[in-house]
Amino acid sequence: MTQLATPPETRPVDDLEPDAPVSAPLWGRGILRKNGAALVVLAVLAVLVIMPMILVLVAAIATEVPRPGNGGLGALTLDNLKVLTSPDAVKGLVNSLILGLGATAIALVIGATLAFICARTDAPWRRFIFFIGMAPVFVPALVGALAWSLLASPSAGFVNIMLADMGLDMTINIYSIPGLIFVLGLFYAPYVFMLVHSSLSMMNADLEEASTVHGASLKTMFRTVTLPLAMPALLGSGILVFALSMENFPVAAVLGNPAGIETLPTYIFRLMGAAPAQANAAAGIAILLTLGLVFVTMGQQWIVNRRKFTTMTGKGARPRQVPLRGWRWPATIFALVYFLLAIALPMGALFLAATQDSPYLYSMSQMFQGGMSFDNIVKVASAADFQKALVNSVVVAVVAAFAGTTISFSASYIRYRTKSRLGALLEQIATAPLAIPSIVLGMGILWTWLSLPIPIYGTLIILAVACVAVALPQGYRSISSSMLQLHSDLEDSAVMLGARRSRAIVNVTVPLMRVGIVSTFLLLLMLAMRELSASLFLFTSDTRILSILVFDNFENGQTAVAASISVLFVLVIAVLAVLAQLAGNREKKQLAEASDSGTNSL
Amino acid sequence: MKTRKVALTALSVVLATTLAACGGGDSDGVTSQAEVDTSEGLVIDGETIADKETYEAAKTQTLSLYSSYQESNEQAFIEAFTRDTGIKVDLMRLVPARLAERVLSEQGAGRLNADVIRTSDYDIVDSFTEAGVWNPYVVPGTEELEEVVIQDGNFSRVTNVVQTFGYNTRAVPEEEAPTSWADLLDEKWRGKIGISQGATGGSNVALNWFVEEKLEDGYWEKLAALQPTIYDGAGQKLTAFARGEVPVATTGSASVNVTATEDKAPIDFVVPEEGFVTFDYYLGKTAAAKNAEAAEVFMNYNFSQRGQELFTELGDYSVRPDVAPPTALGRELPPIDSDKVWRMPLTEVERQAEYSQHWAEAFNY
Repeated sequence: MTQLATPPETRPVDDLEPDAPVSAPLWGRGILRKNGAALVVLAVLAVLVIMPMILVLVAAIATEVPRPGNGGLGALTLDNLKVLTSPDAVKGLVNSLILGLGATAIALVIGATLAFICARTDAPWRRFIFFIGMAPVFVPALVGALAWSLLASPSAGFVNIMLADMGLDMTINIYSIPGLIFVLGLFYAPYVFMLVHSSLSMMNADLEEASTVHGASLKTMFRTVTLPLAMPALLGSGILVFALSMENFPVAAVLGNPAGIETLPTYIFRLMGAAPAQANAAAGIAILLTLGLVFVTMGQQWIVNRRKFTTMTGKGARPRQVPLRGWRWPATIFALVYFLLAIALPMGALFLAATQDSPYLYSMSQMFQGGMSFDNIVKVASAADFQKALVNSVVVAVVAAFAGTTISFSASYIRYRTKSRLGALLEQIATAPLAIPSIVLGMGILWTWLSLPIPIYGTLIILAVACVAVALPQGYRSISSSMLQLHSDLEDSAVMLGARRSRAIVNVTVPLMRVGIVSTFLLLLMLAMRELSASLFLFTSDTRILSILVFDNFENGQTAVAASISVLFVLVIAVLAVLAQLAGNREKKQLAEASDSGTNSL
Repeated sequence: MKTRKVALTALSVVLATTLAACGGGDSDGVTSQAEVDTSEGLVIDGETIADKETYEAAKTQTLSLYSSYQESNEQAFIEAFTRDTGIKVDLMRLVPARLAERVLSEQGAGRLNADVIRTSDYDIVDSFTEAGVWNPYVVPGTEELEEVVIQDGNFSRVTNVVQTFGYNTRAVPEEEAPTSWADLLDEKWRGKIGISQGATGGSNVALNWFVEEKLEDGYWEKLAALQPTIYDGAGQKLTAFARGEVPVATTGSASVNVTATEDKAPIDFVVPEEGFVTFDYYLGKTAAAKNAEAAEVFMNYNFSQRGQELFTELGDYSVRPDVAPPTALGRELPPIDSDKVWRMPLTEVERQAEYSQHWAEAFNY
């Protein structure tokens, strides 16, 4: 192993130009210089996140909503918070907690197992397993819920029809708490997979080797070295999944509602759907959710910050592969079963609903009578509103993914690579939208952008802005997990050798974090493609997007059309993801070649 | 390499399906044709919709319509409007509560983008009045109609939508299907009825009034004792109903019509012995209207013989007595002045809160 000269004292960076002298009389300018970049990011986040959140907060403690043109806010009151003590809210909270915990457990088990199999074992078909781990992100929550209700609704689900056809007296009821937990866990597992996979594959092999050298068994090594090193990723993704499933609206609405299972988001939806909307009360609940999640996040940070988790330093080496022996195929089969449940079956159900004469089947034999027809799908695909929504969705998603990745990277860099005191604040702000259900946040964004003199209301840009605000916590977490694993040594070495800080970032840090950056971009791209709740407040006739089209048709009771659009929707997302991945891979390859030659010359 | 192949295949599938049938995709909602004469302004089926000057100006505009009317029906309506008049329409369709938030926020910021707004629920249109959304406009000839021009023309009642119940024909044989609201209280429907949560929305407001005024005392309590499934959204209820998860459900004849025709859902609606209730949809022109002429033509068209007949063709009632009752699933509904068709008078609007309170108590919701 070549040493990179004498390792310099690891020195946190003060700002992008760390060597700027600061003299006492110029302290004001000094602060500005020290925190210049941080202030810019803060300003962006202020408009993107803080303003909408303040408006929601104000709504929670006032009798009137802070809508533009609303003369006063009425009186200040704590009455809105009283809604929290109502039996409905308490019931909703309890159910949401159960769903959140259950889904998190399932998602962690599935996601972490898949990540481990894919990143660190010799199981066959690992490339396909990587795809399997990511793939369910392509499926919007509403589409997934719709598909599973087609599959396993107690009286008319395809699975149940099939069981009845086979003469089995057995019913799978997806309209139940276990059903909801199953579906949420299934579709949120990719978050765990992505974060844990990148953590496991970037892990420093030295530490594991050290433990083996000192006689630890594979099990002990895993328990004392690997698991603790993967802890930030596990915790971060666990909290993400917990928060997302607690506030997930579409799954609760489609699968919980028929069984009378009330959750906080469906309760909020009910308050918001009331005419006039009880936005103040809804905001009150949102604030409760926010407080709860702030506590959880604080707990997580306490654990993560207790020690350092840097796993990638200048001394690179491939992490060790664990031989599975007899478990090689069972591991792959585990992944395939997950693929079946999260992708193959749901997509099959939607495809069936879209291509049958009627999506309402009562016997499998009916399928063969009517035969298959692509009329619905072709009709939907050729309709002008679908094509326009398709273009809109892609434009919004790409813009949002670029902007979101840039903002996440900047905020994370300032937090973990500079001494700026604003770093911690930026982190709090960037992760805050997670706590606010997007249906409420959407309203805050609407009020914000109607009040600001920036003329983007009614354009596609505002939809991208909303997507960035809603998905920022995920983007920030995703990029931070790779930022945390990359030691600043590498970038600092470049600076020591004379590069400007900005050049060091562009030429060293960004390329080394390429995997993390590409996967963050991908994640944001998917999330923006799927975003529904906030967009509902912001779209216009010209800027309708695909998720709204699916929702409208579902609300209209047109299952076949909704299923057809869903099938095309998922296909488009998959194509986008593959294209982005290919672009990322190509660059990664170039980078690998470049770094190989670099290592050789050292 | 493998992944690239997959990507290209997927992409080509998307392109193929997209390009396969460009140009198709007409809505099958409206089939009737109108006779249009534009030599002296706009005359449709012999009725003058607009004078020459107004029509010439309107033709160059694109109307912006905000609506909470059922999506497929609104699409079919504006398609016919554009075909008849040549005026294009931009539609933004949202459920009433969200539409209200959008309109009030945009109005507050001085950026309301709608020329005309169509929605149900009196409270909502009334809140628009308070916010100064409307620019009063009375369509010529509508003053004489009963409760059509409201608040001196701030907005007008434009159509009435049926709220009744229906049954899933696969789950319930025709001879066993309920034929009256009283039938629904039979023990055999325990756990088999689907209803909407009744605290909000134009259709529920009307249904609450109907139950209180026209059905036996304690109807909601008795229905609640049978433990019906309560749905928060119309979409969930309709889907569950079409799949037979709830064999009987409260629903509209127009929604049944759309779902049964488009998706071949095995559902049918009932004209109960006690009759059914209809709820109002309102239409008004905004003060912010940038396309004032197009807005005027659209308003006039809505209340013309042709426009009103379109509503009946889509399954909803006309507000003009000279237009025949609607048809749904090929069946003509009873005439509006029969004892089967009820409408909540506007004088009852104030009791709305009391009714929904009662509903909530009965169902412990």
